Amino acid sequence: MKPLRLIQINIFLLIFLFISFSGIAQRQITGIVVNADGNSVPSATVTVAETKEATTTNDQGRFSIKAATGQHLEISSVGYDNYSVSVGKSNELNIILQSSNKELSEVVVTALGIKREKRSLGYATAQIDSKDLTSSQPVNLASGIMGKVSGMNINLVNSGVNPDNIRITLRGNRSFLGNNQPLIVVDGVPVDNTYLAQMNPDVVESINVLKGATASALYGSSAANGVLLITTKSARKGKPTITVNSSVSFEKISLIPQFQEEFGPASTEFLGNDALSYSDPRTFNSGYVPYENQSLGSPFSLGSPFGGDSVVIGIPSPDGKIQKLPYKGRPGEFQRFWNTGNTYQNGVSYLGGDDKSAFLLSAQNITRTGILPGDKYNRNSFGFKASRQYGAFKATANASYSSSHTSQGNLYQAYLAVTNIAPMVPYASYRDVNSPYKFSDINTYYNAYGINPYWYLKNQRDNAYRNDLLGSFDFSLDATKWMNIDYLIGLQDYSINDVATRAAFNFSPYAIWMANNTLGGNMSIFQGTTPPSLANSTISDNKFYSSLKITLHKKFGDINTQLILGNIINQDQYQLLSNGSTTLLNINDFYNVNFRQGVPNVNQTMSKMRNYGNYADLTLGYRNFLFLHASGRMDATSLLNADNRNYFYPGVDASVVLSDVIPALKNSKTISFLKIRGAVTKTGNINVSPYQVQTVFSSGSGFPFGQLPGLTTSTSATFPGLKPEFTLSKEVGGEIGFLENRVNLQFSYFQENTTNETVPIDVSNATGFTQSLINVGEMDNKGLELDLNVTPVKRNNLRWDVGIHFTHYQNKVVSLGAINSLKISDPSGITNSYAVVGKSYPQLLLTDFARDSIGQLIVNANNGQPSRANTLVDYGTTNPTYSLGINTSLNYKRFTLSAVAEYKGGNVIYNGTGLYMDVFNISQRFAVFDRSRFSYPNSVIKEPNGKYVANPNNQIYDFSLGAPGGVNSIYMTSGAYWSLRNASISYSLPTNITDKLKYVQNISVSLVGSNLILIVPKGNIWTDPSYGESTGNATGSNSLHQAPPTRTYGADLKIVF
Amino acid sequence: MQKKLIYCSLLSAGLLILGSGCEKNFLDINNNPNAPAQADPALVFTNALTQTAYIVSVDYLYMNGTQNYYGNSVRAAPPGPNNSNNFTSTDFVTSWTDNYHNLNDYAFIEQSGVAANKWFLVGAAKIMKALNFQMLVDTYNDVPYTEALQLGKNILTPKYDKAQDVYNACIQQLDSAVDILENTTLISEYNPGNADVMFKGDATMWIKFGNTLKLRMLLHEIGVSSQQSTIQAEMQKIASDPTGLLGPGESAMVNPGYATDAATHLNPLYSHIGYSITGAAALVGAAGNSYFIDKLNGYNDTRLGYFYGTNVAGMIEGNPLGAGGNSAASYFGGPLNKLNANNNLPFNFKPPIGFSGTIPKTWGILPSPSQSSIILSSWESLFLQAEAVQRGLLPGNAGDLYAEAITDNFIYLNVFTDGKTFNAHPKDWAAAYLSQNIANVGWQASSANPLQAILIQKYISLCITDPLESWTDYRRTGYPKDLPFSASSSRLYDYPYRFIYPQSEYNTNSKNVAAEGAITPISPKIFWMP
Repeated sequence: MKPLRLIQINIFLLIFLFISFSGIAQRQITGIVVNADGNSVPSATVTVAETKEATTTNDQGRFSIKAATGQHLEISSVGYDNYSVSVGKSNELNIILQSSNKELSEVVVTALGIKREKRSLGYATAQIDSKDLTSSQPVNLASGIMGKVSGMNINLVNSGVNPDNIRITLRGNRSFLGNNQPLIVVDGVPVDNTYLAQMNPDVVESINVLKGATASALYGSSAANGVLLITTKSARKGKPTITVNSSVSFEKISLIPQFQEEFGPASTEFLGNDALSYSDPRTFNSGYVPYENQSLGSPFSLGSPFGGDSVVIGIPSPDGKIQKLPYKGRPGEFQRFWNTGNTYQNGVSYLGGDDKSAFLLSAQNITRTGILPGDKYNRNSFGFKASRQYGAFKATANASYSSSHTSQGNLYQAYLAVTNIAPMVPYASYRDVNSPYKFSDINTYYNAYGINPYWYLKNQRDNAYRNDLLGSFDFSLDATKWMNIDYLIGLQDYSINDVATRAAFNFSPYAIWMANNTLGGNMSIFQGTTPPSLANSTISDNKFYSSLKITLHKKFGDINTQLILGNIINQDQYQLLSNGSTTLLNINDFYNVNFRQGVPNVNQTMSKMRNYGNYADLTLGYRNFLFLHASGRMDATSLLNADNRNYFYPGVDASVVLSDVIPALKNSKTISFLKIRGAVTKTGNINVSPYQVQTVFSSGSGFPFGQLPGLTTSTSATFPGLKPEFTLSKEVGGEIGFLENRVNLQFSYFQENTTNETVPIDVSNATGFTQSLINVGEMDNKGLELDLNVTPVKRNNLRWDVGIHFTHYQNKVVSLGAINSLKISDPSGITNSYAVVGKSYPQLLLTDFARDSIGQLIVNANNGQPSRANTLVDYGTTNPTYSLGINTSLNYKRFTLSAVAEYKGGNVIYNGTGLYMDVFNISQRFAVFDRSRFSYPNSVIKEPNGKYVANPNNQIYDFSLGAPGGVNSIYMTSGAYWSLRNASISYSLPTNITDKLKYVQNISVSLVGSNLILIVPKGNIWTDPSYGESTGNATGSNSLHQAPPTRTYGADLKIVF
Repeated sequence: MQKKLIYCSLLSAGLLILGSGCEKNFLDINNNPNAPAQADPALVFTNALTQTAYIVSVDYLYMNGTQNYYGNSVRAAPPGPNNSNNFTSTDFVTSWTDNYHNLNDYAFIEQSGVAANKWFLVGAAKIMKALNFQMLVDTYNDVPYTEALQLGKNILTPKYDKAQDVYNACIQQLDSAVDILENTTLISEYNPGNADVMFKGDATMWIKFGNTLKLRMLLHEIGVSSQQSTIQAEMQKIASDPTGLLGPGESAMVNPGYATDAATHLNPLYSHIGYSITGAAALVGAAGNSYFIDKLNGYNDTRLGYFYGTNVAGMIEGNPLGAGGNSAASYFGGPLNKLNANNNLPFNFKPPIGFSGTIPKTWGILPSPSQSSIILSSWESLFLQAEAVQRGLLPGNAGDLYAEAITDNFIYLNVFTDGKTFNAHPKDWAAAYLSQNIANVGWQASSANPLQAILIQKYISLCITDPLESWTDYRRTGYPKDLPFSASSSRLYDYPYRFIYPQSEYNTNSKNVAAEGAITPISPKIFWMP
């Protein structure tokens, strides 16, 4: 069903419900009390203010009481603000209670689903509730968390149509080359990080963020980087609730790299001896070249700077047509190149149950088109959760399935082709790449050195099909009053089927003749005719999880004790099968590996790992204000050799609620709550891939040749005695509430020290190897986190909340063994990030100009040209050292206005985008000196005596500050930004309207915007600093692999039945 | 009832904990299913030979510029540091890494060959190791030898050995290899057969190759006065070995089955200086060299059209090294590329002007994408022998060996026409060529300096197939005397004498490489240089 259609149906339904109301006044008033999430509130007290008659709501939140028109009902419940409503004509009331400040006696979910009172925790956690997560209608749940938790950093890798590219870190990085992203746990089952993008955000009840290793020792190694505990909505007893949610949003590019619009195409080639040397564009060979991709020419050479003089571009078409254009820049062409993306989300969920059983059904469809023409994304998710209580025994089953399809054109090739286009070319009108004679097809496209960007979008595509199945069974038995036994078995299974195709580069005889006989012909022809190519791959991954947990709890006088003993087993099985060919038979739009020339490319990679851990976890509570908690875990892993595979790590934490102890505080009106806490934990972590401890042979390059096999020794050696990495974390913190907790401040200071870092160090090639994997590194982390929640205004129908989340983070690479710096490898293959001893991690190292001892540029005494220095220069860390998140919500009657803003700073980034733009001189930087002579500011020349003196005005024309000279540092900018991540305004229809609608509990509509404002420092003229090449550790570099940042606007309709 | 449940649960819990903890194999699943942990040394041998062929063909490709086998084209930047000769620690890095990785393969073959009684492989691996180290020393001078390839003994930073010592050790290894291969009882137990992609398990050929390699190394160090007695003694050994040296038609060539079915299956020389699998020219920055063209034209050398193709106009034209003035410069010679047959490419080969006969299937320096890779050519062996005889180190007739060497090169190139008349046997064209009364061509005409004639003709014959040996010959003898330097204004050194140790050594083995002192493209010289 088309999403628009569904919205229409929703609206019809709405109207139908509106007119079917029935309103006959009666003395007996009935009603339902629900919370802001639409869940019923049982045991709430309902009092008629005038008569003092009172009742309580039942399990379904329903009540019935006698009252007369004009009297007031007062509703109160623990954890909610009191609510008052006057009795009108309606005999049935729908009452929504707003949660009161919930920090006091809140129960939070901690590791292994253990529910603990927040006051008893000795470490930092944060909880984000459903309405905060979904107010911006995120496609990927992770983008709903941005700016809402201190200590958490989220990098949006790209603005592509695929929501999969998000990197999350908690409290920075601990491992040089291993995983630094937190463990994701959905309803008790650990899942792959990429699962976040596959989840239906509408069914999530809350996300609990366990920030440090402290909070997560019980999950074992994989939780060394913290945990995101995702809890889906639980079915409630009582009246079934059906929620229908429909939204639509539009996405447009927001930040545009700065282009020059003054200079047209000219050539530096065919100049004679030294093809690399630059020539003066004004004096010789600066002639206008109609088919050139480099914008080196001068408008003055044609006599009229921005004049409307027509010029010819490209070659004539076979029917003799010539492309003639005004010789001037085309502002806005870049924006016209991209589409407006749109996203339709439609979801429905059904919650229901009775005293003994409960269930949740959910379904969601997301259909999306991207800003890149032709890009599409479609996701369907279905969920089912049910539980049944039988005496002391309870069983819960949970299953969710999602299936997504992403279709993407080759962004990089298209974007690169765009940077190869001279400013006066109307390339956004070249959409029809199949149209001969229109100057957009492969043969008549104007640029002799490239292909129409739309060609790549249409003909070089990637289709990914992903299926996810997550299932679990949970059996729980309250064996005695003091013992519970719980067994959870979970399974995540996903598969990704990826098909990447590229059509042939095929040129017509006319184009070949033009190339051979005139200079304007397509030079790509000299690369030969390239047949179509195809790459298929299927990844399947299966994760098995088993958790047995025995909880013993007993109260001894004033001391509450709880002891948990448990066992966890993990297994991860992975397989990649791929095939393909780069020499397919050339048949239009036909890609099948069976039809090809030559041998196909095939690959098979499998892996399997297992680990298990046994743990004990003890909590002691004294009079509900002093808490002591200790845990210990013994792990065993298949990844290491038998001698080193068992390892133990302990943890201890304590907290005391001073406001319950110190009499002065007990009675204070100012300070309503005060708690201090502290924790020390050690966590083991394995950063070794399966089989990495074994030295193996690989197939020699090119082998097999026909029937002939050949093997070669491995280039990387391993040290068989590899051990786990260990992180020792220390944390102190506290919480203080003022003025009945309307002002609440939480703070944490943490220190982490990671030793035994597993690092593949480069070794002398003369050893016969290039790398050896050893335990060598050490890294320190420390940071401060502050979370301030204030409710400046709280009246009957007006409430304003502000949350401020601040993080300051510092880290230092203490040791890398014998080496001083280590390049951080990255899945994208592009990285400028390093671990450098004594510096924070990761550092951005770039090439720079040759400079003298005081940093002045050394230029050539003869021609004024600077040169590149041989050593890399360190520009600082790419990880934000300061971040600030501000979120606010304002409730007035039925309106809710909310916004999230975010600041990151203290880091630097490398904008590879700039390099590409400079190579072809389309960047604004290449026009700032108007292409006239200039000498480098603050430059010096080297005199024969070796001394440096000020440059005596050696001027050059060439503004090749960057790419042509191989100097990357000029693309380094601050990574700081301010972003209005999202803002929304929503309106719930008044109860006196919904009351009259049978079955409808609540209707709300909202307007939603995401990434509305992005403010970057002046030097960053390229892109969103939070973008990166991949979700790997080498953050802080972007390139043409990232589409420009976007802004999203949308609307949402939610109906609760 | 409840008690029973408790017991059941506890039992299952206990089973899980015990079961996972005690079951011995539960965690023993770390055996790699993606790559084998063991290998038959014969399989490694096949790859190692193929890799050596790659090193010889590709890693020294830019010495073709140094030796004026190519000049700059005008279509793109010239490849490598040829224009400036300003070699740096990032140039020729693969020649270092490839050789040492290749050596690691041969070291494995040698060790496991001994363990498995596969002595044929032990002998062959020793010879190939000597070749790797010969290439390393001839380009880097001092290199790690005694402590190299000892990661198993935890040597992560191997010390550098004196180049002379490495040479001496290699010559000893060659002796030991020949001894093994001549011991028929030792090698009769095992023969690698087709896994030997060089000589198909022919021990005699391996002995000849070992002896020829030794001859090559002895002649390289001919100028070292302290080595004279060693050289004489070793020459005696070669002369007295009845198996002898590589003779006419006995080139050491590797062919694992080069084919056009995949880009990685093309002959590496063909794909790096000829054409890619899609038919695109592989080395667009390079073109025919005008010095080389002038030289061969001066000698009426028919082979010119077999080294270079003709341009659009049907002419063979070139550019100097370091300057690309002529946009019609020829590309490297070969037959009409079948993959490319329908594309009328400007740099593609065309038959010589006036030719109307039958074109043989293969000819020229790039006869086919499936051609064998030359490790050490028969004509080089014959030139080496001619030089040794001329120097009085081996018995024989230098003039005959000189003529045989040139003839063998004509045969390899399959010279069948001089552009006007055709369909004669390459031998006839060679004979006609040698009969010319031109110094450095005809033997009699070269009597004033026969050594120069041998080295100039060797220089011509090594074009594209072995630029490294050609570079070595120039560095040790100075022939050809008129070899021009780069014409580029960015030329920093007239002529390079050596490579700079790779940056990875400075990063990972800094102490040992620093002990070698400051390295420039001209100093320190290779130990055998005058």
